[in-house]
Amino acid sequence: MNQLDADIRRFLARRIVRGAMVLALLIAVIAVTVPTVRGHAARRTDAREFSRIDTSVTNPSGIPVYSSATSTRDTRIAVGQGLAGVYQGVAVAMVFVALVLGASFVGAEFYLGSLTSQLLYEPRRWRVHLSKAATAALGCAAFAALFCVVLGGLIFVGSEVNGVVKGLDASWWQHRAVQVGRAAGASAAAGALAHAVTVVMRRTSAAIVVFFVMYPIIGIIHPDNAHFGWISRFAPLRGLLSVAIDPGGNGNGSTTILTRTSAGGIALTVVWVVVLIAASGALFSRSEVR
Amino acid sequence: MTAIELEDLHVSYRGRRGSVVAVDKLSLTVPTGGVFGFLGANGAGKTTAIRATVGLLRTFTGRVQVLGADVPRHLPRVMDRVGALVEQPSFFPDFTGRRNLLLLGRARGIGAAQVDAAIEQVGLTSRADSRFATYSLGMKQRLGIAAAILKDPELIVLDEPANGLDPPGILEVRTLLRRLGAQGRTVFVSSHLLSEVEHTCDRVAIIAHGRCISSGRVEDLLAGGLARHRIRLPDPPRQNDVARSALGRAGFNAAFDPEGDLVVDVDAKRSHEVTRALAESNVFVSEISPITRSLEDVFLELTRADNAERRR
Repeated sequence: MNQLDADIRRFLARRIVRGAMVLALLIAVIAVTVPTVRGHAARRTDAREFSRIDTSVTNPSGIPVYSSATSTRDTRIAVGQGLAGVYQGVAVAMVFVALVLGASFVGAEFYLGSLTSQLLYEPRRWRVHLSKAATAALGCAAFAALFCVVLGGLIFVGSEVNGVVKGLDASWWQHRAVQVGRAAGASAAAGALAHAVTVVMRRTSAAIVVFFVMYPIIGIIHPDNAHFGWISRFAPLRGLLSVAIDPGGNGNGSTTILTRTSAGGIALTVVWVVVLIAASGALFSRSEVR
Repeated sequence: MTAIELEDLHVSYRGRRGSVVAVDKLSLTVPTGGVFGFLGANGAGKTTAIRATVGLLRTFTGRVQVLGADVPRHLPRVMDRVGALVEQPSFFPDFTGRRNLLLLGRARGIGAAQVDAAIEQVGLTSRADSRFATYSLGMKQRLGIAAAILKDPELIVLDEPANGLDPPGILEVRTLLRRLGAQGRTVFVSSHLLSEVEHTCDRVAIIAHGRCISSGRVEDLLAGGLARHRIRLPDPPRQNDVARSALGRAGFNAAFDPEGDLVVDVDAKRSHEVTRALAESNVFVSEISPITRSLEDVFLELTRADNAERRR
């Protein structure tokens, strides 16, 4: 536990983590404040009074006619309707943030050589490896969960101040909690996977490139493709995205970047995490550390 | 019990041009207590041997034991009793010196009081709360030494601890090493600063091309080889040739050094025979003094001999 405690402190003290937290908070505040301030209710207006002559629309004689627009859309922030969609987008973004944070955590240690100092204190390589993987997972999960909660809270406040607060029943709360849980779980897995790949490649950038290149690949190669479909079907990023977004709640798997079922996504992710953590740990326990 | 025991340690790397032997069947015994110097030119294999000793390098053949435990298998059992600094000290640049040590120590349950004590021992207290990135090379080295002694270890392994230190810093490190050695700990220190090792260490091992070519007590190494004495005469221009002939007749090998002084190969126990032989030829010496060898002389002699042997 001492090792894990020290690693968590190292993770939280990193500038990239603190910077990401500040940036995320800033984005959340701006993203909620603007629609809160600018939002307004739907209203029916007098066409004669407010609509202008639309020169692009003419009658058969070629004379411009008055526009028939008579109402405006309700643009107020509505936590009940909007938060589910927001959380879906945030969960995907958090997966990519977790890939960067997870890779850079151990990548920076390889780059700085600080791992050498640590191994002179704790020579059990597996323990160090698992502790750092757990730290990356916990740190990324906490980051994602915290961001979701803060963003949800801000949207709720915005809705209360100048918006619509309707339909927040027990079921709604439960579904949002599940979404936050999925975002945190996907981020945890992404952090651990990025850590494992970085341990093998010993470079932050290499691990980030591996996962970021995977995104267009799983989009381009259809999982049902006869020849290369398996590459896309079993790609770890597909699993991560399917944990982040419920494929069942997203048109029954119609999106090609997700697995068909939620269970499939979770299983794919778990297998990749176990395989990559074990393989990278075996390599790390035997290799020379500089 | 020995502090470190290396038996036929062999390390090779696969390079682009085939296999490169870094350590070649190195055998070495470091007894407990005192300061042990590990000497060798750059690339001799010192750091590689140290990396294998402290478990950072795991692909080697031969046997490595530290405080009686086989490395790397049983190293965790004794690692609490071993402190080490290998190559450049590496810490997080954005953390302060104190924070870096606190995080290292936390993994072994070491608290702030011990961290502060270690920082004080290396004279870094005034800069302990500065970022590591702002430290000079010497300060980084001191923090590395502080990390090595933080565990209050029985065995301290230091790889080139005086690297980057200014003369006062080198003196401080020398004093610190002596103090640690006098406390009953074993200090295993690698260096190519031969005068430092000569002043600091009780025993040394010299390695070249990955093999140990000599080891033992410093005074024994310095006393080894051919002992020489320098002889000064009252009237050198007139007496030098007479003295040389007299010594030759008495069975001594005598020659003139570049300064024109007469140098005779004889150890201290037989120096009175030299003065007697000269007196019998009516040459009375003004001064006879032993020519002391430095560790540098010994090192160069041994490594040159090893190089010559390898060429043959």
